Amino acid sequence: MASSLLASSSKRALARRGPAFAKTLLVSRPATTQSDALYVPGGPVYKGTVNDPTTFPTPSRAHTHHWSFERLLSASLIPLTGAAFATSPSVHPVLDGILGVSLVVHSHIGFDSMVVDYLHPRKFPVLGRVATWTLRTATVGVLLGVYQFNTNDIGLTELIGKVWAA
Amino acid sequence: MSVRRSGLQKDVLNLYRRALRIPRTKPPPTRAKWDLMIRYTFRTKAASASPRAISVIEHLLRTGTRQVSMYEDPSVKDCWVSAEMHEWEKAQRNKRTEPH
Amino acid sequence: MSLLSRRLPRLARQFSSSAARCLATPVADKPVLNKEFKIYRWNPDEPATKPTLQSYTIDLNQTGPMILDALIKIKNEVDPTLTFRRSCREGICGSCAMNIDGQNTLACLCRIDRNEAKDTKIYPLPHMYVVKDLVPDLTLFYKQYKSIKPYLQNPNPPADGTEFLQSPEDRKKLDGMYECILCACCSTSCPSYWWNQDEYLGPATLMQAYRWIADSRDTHTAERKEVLQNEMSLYRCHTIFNCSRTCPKGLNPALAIARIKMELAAD
Repeated sequence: MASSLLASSSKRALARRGPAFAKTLLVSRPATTQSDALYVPGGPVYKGTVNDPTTFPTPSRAHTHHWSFERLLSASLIPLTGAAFATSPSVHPVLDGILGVSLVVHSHIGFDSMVVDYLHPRKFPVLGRVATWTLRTATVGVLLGVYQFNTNDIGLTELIGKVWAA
Repeated sequence: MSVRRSGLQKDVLNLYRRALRIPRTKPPPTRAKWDLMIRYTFRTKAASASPRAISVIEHLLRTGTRQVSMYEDPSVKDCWVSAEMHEWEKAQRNKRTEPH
Repeated sequence: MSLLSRRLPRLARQFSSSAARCLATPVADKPVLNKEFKIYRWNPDEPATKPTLQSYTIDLNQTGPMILDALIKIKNEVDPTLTFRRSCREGICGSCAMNIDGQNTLACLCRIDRNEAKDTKIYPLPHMYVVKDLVPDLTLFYKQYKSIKPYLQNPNPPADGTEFLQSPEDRKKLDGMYECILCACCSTSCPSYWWNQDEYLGPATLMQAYRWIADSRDTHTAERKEVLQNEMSLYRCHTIFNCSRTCPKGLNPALAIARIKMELAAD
């Protein structure tokens, strides 16, 4: 299923760029059934007949937990930010660290949902995956940076405080 | 070595192939009519669209798929053939027999 | 008899006066109020020609108060090729959903802006394939509606063989959801639906999904919730609230979606 989706979406992207481009790049697609061959995600022809209901992706509890976690994180960021600035960061380095990590995770979730919205691999098989992995490496990099900054330097809250005062 | 085709071209050819299979499922006396109607409809519509106009081709593909799935219904038994279709067929035949 | 004879003239007077009011007499005393309508036109018979905005000017004092009245007048008197869907003309069928001055709404429930200086632009519902002029292709929308099984699923009919009973409180939960007429105004106003309509169900379908999840008579609640637990079908809703803003029936699909999310999270 995944491979046929990939093939059909790449085919659409190629069709958009014109026949000459397609000719040089397109690899031959394995023969599939009639309805499969015609269906392209977001394309002009729908899956199945007019009277067939649309299908659902495979269900997974993970997405519900993902949503709950996202909401909890967003909500807890507000008191956390207040607490981190109210207390002295030199006394409570853990609180400062938690704030840094939550901020990074929060923005990771936000950017990730942008990638899923606009660059989903079902429509952009190459660009979508590149974007997902770029985001993941960036997040890991920033997390490492926050760790370094908070252990060896002045810490996030103090930095913002200094910039604010400057 | 077969010609490499873009996805849209393949979709169009798939649709035509699917349409051309329809006459076989219809009652024998009507098969010639079905065949002519399908070839005429596809050929004239395909000729009307520029190969560069992707959105036009997509539109024709969408309407064509709907039409074909309607004709595929076993309860559809017969179809109507117009004078233009007969003329078109005659013209096609002459084109084929003419020496180049 | 005497009573009747006494009443008859009065009745007759009433009838004649109401008849005079109903008659389509030319309104001589009203001034001409010309208003320009710019309407999206695209003919499927000539797919190669680009869609255009065609301009029609009509006298608002010669037409009804709603956009649909103006459209019908244009179709009847100016241009019979103008194509749009309409049926009930009172906001209960959902056929005449279109984008009027940038807002998805029902043409029959939308008053004409009587400002002469400003033209009114009418487009089909955004981000749908167009069948012709103002008629969008709602196939996918209906396919999605079908996918949530919008009917009562309960294998155990009540013992007395009559009907499923429901308490008034349970019935109240369906208020604000059962009124949906599936005009697709909300779904086609949702940016998430624009980009991912092949996988994301859209506010209208999700509200109907919740209508059946919330129904106390339905026994398949768990299955209904189960199918929504994926990345695309439900969680592409980013609480943009365009759906609640645009709903011509004043319903709140965003609230229904939020309730599904809460119920899924609480499970």
